[in-house]
Amino acid sequence: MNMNDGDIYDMHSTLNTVRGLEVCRMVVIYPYDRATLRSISAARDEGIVIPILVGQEDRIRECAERYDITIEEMEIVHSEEEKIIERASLMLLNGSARFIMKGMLGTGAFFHTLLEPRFKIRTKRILSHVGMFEIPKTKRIFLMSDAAINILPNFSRKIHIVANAVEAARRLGIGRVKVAMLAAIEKINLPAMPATLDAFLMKKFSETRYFGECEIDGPFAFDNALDPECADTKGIGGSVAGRANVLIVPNIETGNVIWKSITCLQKKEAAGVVLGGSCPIVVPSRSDDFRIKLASIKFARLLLD
Amino acid sequence: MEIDGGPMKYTLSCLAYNRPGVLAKVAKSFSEEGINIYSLAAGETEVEDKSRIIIVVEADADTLRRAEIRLERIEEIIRLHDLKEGELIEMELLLIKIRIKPEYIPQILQTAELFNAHVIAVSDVSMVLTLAAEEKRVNGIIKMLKKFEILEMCRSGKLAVSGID
Repeated sequence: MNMNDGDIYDMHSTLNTVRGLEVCRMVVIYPYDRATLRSISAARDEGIVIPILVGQEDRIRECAERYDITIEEMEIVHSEEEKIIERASLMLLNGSARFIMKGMLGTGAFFHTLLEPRFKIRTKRILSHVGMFEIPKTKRIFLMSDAAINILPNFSRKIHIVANAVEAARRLGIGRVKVAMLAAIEKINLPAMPATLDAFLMKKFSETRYFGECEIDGPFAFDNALDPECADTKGIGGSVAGRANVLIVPNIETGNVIWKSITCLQKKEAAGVVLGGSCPIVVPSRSDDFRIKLASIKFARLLLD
Repeated sequence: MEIDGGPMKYTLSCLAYNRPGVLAKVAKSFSEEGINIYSLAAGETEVEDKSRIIIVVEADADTLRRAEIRLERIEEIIRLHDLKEGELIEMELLLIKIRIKPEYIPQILQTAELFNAHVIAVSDVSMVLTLAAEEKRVNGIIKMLKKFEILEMCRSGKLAVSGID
C-alpha cells in the first residue's frame, strides 16, 4: 500500500484530532436515550463540544439519572414538545450553537421543521449524508454517500451528493480525492442498470472541473472500488479502481446495507453527518450505539472548520 | 374540426394484406390527389398476413375524400378507417442521438427526465435517447434537445389504434 497516495489512515486517530480544535457549542434535541446522552457526555469530557440540551427538562434529567450519566454542568433549555426543534433551530440561526444533533426523534419530523426557510439551513446544495469508515485490513479511511437522505437520487442530485462528499474528504485532509461511482458491475448495462449510466456520465461530467481537483470514475462494484487486489485480478484499470476514498452509492438501499453490514455485522466504527446545509447536522439512527454517535459528533466537528 | 375548409391533419388507418406493392399503391393514391404524406408507419397486426398502415396526411376534406375513394379501390386494402382526434390512442417513437459535451450532461438528463425519455445507449461521444409519446411531446423534446448537438434522429411516425370501446 502506497502511504503517500493522499489517503488518510486510522479512523480512531483521525477523529481524535478534534481534541486539538476549539471547543464548539452543539445543540442536541430530544436527548432522551442512553447512547445520545453518553456520547454527548463523552464529547464534552474530551473537550470537543459544549452541549446544549433542548427538550423537556424533567425528562432529560430523569433519563440522565436512569442511565447514570452526569449532566449537571450541561446547559439545558426547557421546551414544550412541539417547540423543541424550533428552539434549537433558532440557536443555530442566531449563532448560539455551531451545529446540531438529533436524539430520539424521527428524521422526517426533524428535517421538516429544521428546513423551514426561516432558519436558513438550506444552501444552494441539497442535503446529503456522508458516512466515514475504515477498511479493517489496512485502516485506510473512506467516505460513503448517501445512506440516509436521498432515496433514489437523479443525476442532478448526485452532483450535489458528490460535491458534498468531495468537500468532506478535503476537509478531512484527504490529499487526492478519488471518487468511485458504485453499481453492481463495471460495464454500462442499459436499461437494466441505470446506476451504471449515471456512474459513466458522472465521470464525463467531472471533466468540467465542477468538483475541482479530484478523480471520478465508474461504474464500480464495491470490491473493485476499495480493494486493489480485486481490481487488479479483474484487470480494472485507472487510478480510482481499488483505491477509492469516496464511494457514491446509487440509492439509499445500497448505502443503508453497506452502513449496516459494517456497523451491525462487523461491529466496526462508523461516523455519519448530513452536509449541504449551513452547518453539519448529526443525524444518527436511533438504534446507533454510543460509539457511532460519539464518532459522528467528532466527524461533524472536524468538518466544521 | 376543419377550419374554413382549409387543409388540416388527418390520421388514417388501413388494414391491408401484407403483399408486395401495397405501400406503393397507397402512396400513389395520395400523390395523385396532390396530398403530401406527413408520416407513415406500417407493421404487422394481430392477424397473420395482415398489416396496419397508419398514415398522417395534411389535406382539405374534399381532396382527402377523393384519396380515400382511390384507397378503397385497392384490392389488398381490407378496411380503411379515418381516426378522429379523441377517438384514437396514438403514440410515436423517437430515437435521438445527442453529442455529449460534459457541461451539458445534467441538462440533457433533466430534459429526458422531464419528458420521461430514456437513455438506451451511451458512448464517450454521444448518447441515444428514446421516447414513446404523443406527437406533441415528441415535438417538445426535440425542441428542447436542439439546444444541444443532435447527431441523428429518427421518428417512427404516428402509431395509433382506435380508442377503447
